[in-house]
Amino acid sequence: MEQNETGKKTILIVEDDTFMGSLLERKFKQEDFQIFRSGNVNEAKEVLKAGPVNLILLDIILPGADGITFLEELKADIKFQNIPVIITSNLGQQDEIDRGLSAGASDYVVKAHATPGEIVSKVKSILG
Amino acid sequence: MENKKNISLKEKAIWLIRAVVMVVVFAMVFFDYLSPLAGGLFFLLLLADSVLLAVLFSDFKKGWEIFDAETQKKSIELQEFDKITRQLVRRELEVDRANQRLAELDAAKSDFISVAAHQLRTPLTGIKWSYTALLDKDTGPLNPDQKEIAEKGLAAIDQSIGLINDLLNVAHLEEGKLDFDFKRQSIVPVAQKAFAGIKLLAEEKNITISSKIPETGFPEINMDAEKMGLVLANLLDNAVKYTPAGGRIEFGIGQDQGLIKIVIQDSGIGIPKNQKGRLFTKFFRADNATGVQTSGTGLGLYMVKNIVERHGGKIAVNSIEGQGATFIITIPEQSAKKK
Repeated sequence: MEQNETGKKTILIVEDDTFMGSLLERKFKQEDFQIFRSGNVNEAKEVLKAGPVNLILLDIILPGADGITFLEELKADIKFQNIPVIITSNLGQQDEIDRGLSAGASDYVVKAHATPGEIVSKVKSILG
Repeated sequence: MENKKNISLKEKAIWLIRAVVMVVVFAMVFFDYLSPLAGGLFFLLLLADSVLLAVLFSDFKKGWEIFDAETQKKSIELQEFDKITRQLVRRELEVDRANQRLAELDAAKSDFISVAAHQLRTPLTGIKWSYTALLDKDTGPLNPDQKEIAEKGLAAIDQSIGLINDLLNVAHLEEGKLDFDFKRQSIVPVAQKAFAGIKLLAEEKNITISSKIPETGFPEINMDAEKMGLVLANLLDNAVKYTPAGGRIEFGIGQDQGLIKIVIQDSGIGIPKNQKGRLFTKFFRADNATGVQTSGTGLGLYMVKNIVERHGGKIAVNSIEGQGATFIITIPEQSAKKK
């Protein structure tokens, strides 16, 4: 698994709600992860171009483009298709969850039903 | 009407010609150009012909009038038929348009519910995660008062999120869009999880809670585990909510004549006799329930009944007000297999 120069695993949080993004960032940093945050898909693409990312936490409703379309693009791109993606969204209907998982997400978390600590645990279990 | 007028004119013209011919024949006889006998004969022939023609014209006229009336009648009928056909075509188009609009509104309603749930959950998530951060001591240790406040805040937020989920589930139930994932499985793990989820809450309220859940040898049923979990969590949560401190709750699962039987019995406030019939209806909350717990949508038992019925089961309640309530769910085992 690729790691950055600090040796820490890198998580890209794609979340347009800055407060929730900051709470997630705080929790992951406590657990010794390196964090990049972006509020939209374009910023996320720039982060991915700049360096290795071990896992992406991806919201669905984002300004400009939706997360599922971005996920489909990632899974179709040989450079990024192996990066695990966990969808973190407050859209919680079964058809929305199915849509996310069939687009290639490793997991789907309804944010209101989870805590940042539980999201960290999911990330750890995926990254091993 | 035009034809009628033409015939009348033709008739007049013929009579006029005949009159002229008669005058000419009379003149020819008068001025000795024609013998009186020939003139008389010619005159009689013309007269006879005219009488015959008059009779024929009269019959033709009558026939034409009948034909004309029939034609007009048919024409009016055809016009009516055409009008009705046009109206039917227009109505069909209107129905098509209305159906299309309904489908659009249905989709918009579904999207609206989904988006509204998302928009409501988002700020609640921010608050929930804030309390969680405090309770996880992310910002340092809390004193007992701070901890209690954060815990109560978190419980209130979780309750609000639960209410949104209930509203969303009921909206989808009504639309027939609540997805069920039926699998042949045992209810035992679902019951164990529901009991574990409520046990602490009951004990904190000083309620004695016990369960009789068989470990092995229980038949599998066609079940959506998540939805059945929702049913049990709702009934157990109600039992805790409406049983005062010092009370007891018993939760049991068993088999009875080809049925899976789930029993949740409490020693709580019970249900007023005259309100039992409305207990499973939407938005209904019993009078004595609102006295104990002001919050609540009255959607829980409505949802519970719908989910149980989707499993082919039934729910019944026995209760005496002030002495507790017993909810009994029965679900057919169908082609049950021992696990």
